[in-house]
Amino acid sequence: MRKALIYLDSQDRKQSAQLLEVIRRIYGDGGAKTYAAAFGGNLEAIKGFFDEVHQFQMPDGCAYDMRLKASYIKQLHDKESFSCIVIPATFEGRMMAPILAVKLQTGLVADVTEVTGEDGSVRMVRPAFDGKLMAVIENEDSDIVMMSARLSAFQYKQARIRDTKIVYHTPDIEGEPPIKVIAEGRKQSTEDIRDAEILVSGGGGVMERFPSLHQLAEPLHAMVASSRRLVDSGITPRSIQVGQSGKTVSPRLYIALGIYGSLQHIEGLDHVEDIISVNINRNAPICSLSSIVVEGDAIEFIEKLSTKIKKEKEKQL
Amino acid sequence: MKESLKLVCLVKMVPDMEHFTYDYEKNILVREHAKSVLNPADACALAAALKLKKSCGAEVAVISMGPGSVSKYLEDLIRRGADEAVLITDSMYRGSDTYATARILARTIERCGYDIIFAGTHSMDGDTAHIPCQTAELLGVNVMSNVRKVREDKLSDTHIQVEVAADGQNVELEMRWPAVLAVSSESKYKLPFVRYEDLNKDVSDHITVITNSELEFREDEAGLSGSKTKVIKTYPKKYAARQKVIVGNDDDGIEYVYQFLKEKGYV
Repeated sequence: MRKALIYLDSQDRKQSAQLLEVIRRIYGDGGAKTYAAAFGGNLEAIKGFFDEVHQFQMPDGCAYDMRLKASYIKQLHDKESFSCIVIPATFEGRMMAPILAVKLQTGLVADVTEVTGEDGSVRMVRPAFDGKLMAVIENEDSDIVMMSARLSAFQYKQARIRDTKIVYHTPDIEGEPPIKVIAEGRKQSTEDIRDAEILVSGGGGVMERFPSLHQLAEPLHAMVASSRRLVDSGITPRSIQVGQSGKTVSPRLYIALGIYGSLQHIEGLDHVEDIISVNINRNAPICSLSSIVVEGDAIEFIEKLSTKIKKEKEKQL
Repeated sequence: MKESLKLVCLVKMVPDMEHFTYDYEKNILVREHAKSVLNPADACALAAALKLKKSCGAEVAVISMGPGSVSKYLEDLIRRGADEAVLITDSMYRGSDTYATARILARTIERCGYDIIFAGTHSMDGDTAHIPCQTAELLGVNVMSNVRKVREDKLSDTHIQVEVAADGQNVELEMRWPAVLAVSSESKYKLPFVRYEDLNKDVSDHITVITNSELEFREDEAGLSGSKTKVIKTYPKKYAARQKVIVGNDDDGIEYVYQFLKEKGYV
């Protein structure tokens, strides 16, 4: 049986496990034996999803030595001969993948957002040229397919039915680590709305009730943004303003709450895949750009939808 | 400490996104016709290298791969403070994927000699962020991406300190060099201006052109045939005509929105 490996990012193991969907799309349900490589941390959240999890205990201060981590994954590969290695396109993963690809002397496709496996050939789709083009790419090497994949693009919805075997490795590392952590700052919220996958944005229809938006942004892992109206009213900072005099954003999903959608605001929406607008006026210009228009009060919508999402989440992974 | 450190900076000219042309038949980018700009992250990387040069008296060599027309841009970088530039150009290298490109770069860097290698983390066109890591691995040296700051005050004869933006977290690291430092375009580094008196300075003798007769790759090791990945096709990103659905703010409406979010993978 084919074997497939997923690298679990140490910042987000649970989310990395969603990349099992990539393997499912290539080999079908149960079409491959699934492996995970983890470097420390709790594995409870991913138990039941993989056949084998390999946990490598890294010494203190070595967390950012991706060449070292890649060398352990290579050792695992030499033993198991994986047909497919999927790595999350995170800060760590985007370093790990190219290093490992060189070690395995194989091709690598970055930032994959779609994948198909037909007639034994795996096709990977990734955005190129600033998202203007989508490129369909194949690996020339027929023995192994390697890619880094965008976490938000794949959701694994299968049940935790596997009997996960956990294998512990304690590598012997001698001498001074070549890359050593000196200081680690706290996670900062220096977020930029231009990097957001999902934006929850408020306008004149929410005004001083703007803080309520966080209630919906949080379960969606979204960032909050606003229209110029709120910035001019002193409610929100300019750094989160969408529009001609603010920022141009390209989230996959834009939830427009009480936003009218002036031309200047819409100017700031570039390559947005889906817009959901909530407005008491179904004829507001933003509505004609939307996939879904919810006619009604924005704050009421936030409360209802965030409750719904939380409820459904409790049932899942 | 060594007499003089050898700093190498990898740079790439990228098509101005508004005007690039793409050969849809061959599935390669036609750079000859595209208006080029210096990749923003590479500009930061070179600026960081020049800053380190200033504080420790290093030599800075810029290396770029591309068509002959890149030469004039490299001249500009020399006028801005780089000591020399190497242009790798050979029609055999056209269409190289990141693996093939990294091999070409690594072999060139070995020829030039190096202590610390700078590069931009991402390029604007390919945006794979592979090259710095692949090159480092081929050279067998340390690498770090998303470098925001190089602490030139903390340079020792074995180590260098850097500040890195790691998924929203600021991390300070000490790295043994030789190393590849991939600088983020979000860093604050800015290229210095050309001094007025240097505007038309002839710097052409600071540029070396390298082709495959020096690097000696086999034909199946470079270009399209040396690449391990192949672009099958490309298509413009499509925008489906929006068929808006109007729902109420009630249980049915919320259910509809939730199912939509789920189907699209937003929740």
